[in-house]
Amino acid sequence: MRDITLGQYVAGNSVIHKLDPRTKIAMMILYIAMTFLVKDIWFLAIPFVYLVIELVLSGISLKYILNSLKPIRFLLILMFLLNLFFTKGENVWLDLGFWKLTDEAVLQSFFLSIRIVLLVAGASMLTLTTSPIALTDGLEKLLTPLKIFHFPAHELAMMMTIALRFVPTLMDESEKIRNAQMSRGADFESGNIFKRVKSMIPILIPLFVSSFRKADDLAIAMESRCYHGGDGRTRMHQLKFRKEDLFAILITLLFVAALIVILVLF
Amino acid sequence: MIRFDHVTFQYEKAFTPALSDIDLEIKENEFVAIVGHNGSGKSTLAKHVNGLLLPTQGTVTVCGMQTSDEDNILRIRQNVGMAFQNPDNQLVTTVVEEDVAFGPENLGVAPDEIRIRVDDALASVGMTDFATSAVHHLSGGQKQRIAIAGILALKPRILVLDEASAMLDPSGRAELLETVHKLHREGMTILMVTQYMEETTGCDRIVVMKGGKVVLDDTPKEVFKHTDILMESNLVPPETVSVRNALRSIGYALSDSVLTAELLAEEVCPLL
Repeated sequence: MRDITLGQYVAGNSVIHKLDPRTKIAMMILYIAMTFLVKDIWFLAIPFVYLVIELVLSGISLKYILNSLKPIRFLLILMFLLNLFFTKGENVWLDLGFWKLTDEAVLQSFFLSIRIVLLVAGASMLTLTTSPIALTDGLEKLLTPLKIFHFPAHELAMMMTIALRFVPTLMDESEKIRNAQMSRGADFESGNIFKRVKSMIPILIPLFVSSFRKADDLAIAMESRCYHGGDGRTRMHQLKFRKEDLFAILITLLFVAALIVILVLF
Repeated sequence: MIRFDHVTFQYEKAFTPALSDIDLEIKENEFVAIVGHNGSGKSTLAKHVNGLLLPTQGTVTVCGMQTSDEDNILRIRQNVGMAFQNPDNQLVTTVVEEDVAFGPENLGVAPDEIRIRVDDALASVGMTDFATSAVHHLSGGQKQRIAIAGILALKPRILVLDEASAMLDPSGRAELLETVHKLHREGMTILMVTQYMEETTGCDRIVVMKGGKVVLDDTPKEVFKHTDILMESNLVPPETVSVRNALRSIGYALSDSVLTAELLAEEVCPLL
């Protein structure tokens, strides 16, 4: 229970793992752009090949990718069916009178479903290969230029860091409160869904109160350690853009370029 | 090094001051314990040393700088490191070494220099092997040592412990105390706020507080002569002192310097 982390990072030592988080974020954005540019099912092969290459290089087992697709399985089925039923087409495969199964509907259903699978799988590749801390650092660095528009890049990153730090602590805390309430006769297991949701209140309120106290303590401790916002702050771990990063970006751009050329030609 | 000059402090909405007319001077490399019952003002006093609280009346001067001057506050906090009670609520990041680096990062120290400071700080609390561990996997005592490492990375001259041992188990408390004594031997000035009288026997000086006032301020040897004043302040003297006093009352001549179990054994054995 204490070991769950936000996201689903799988520690590793692959080429992909070692890339700068900023590179990986950029790669993901370009990859998503690729999947959106495609308007024809067969051209989805390009982002698909890209994803397979990334997956093989990262050494991450396919099982994790499939796991990341689990939460969207109902959405996928629903989308598939809706498109199957409501896409209009000419080439009728099957005529049931009230509904015609058409060539176009089948293609469209598969196209949209595969596109969503590719999108989610690609986004998971980022969180599977990048630790939350590295991700936070990368985001902070990437968002820093937005500071001129008063975008709170540092504050956002600091908030994410603290949130990540306190997830296991608050898990422990809620477990303790739960046990304390159960020893006083609280019942969390029986009753219908509304009853059970209601029975969470005696856990949530003490948890909120204790979070506020923690926040207060932490603020004092941070101040004592000379924290005064992001101005003039340095970092021990510097993000380094190495030649591997350049290589990864170039390959990704190559894929994008290839895709655009194909789209223009056909 | 630290000077409290007629310091009075009253919390907003409070009827009585938490500190009233405190005069205190702490010298370089002194190890001072501040003891007192709940509400005696000992933590309030500690929070004045690095300017977390500012006196309502009087002045606090640290390393020649007044805490009331806002321009000094960063430099004071760099010189006065402060460890708090709850080990969980003072660590900022998930990974040990990143947390230790937090202080120097705030000061804008160069990355290479931070690395050196972090390694030194972790070595001096004996936590080098845990540099890349996640903080929630550590014990309370280890977390507290990481908190101290995080303070040492700021290179302070004064270390304030605000009941830092209160939430630790006995072994964690021993771990922490040992670390603090080691830092003191290396030249650090220590101000330790505590409720555990056993922890104070190795100090240079004990300040006993009651109702926002200093009632005793002397060496452990002298302070523990006044068992009556300690009892009045709701403080229980260490067991060794109670044993010593009990033995004395039945006629054994034991000296005032008997404060630890070792010294007690040393003086009692020849009498048997």
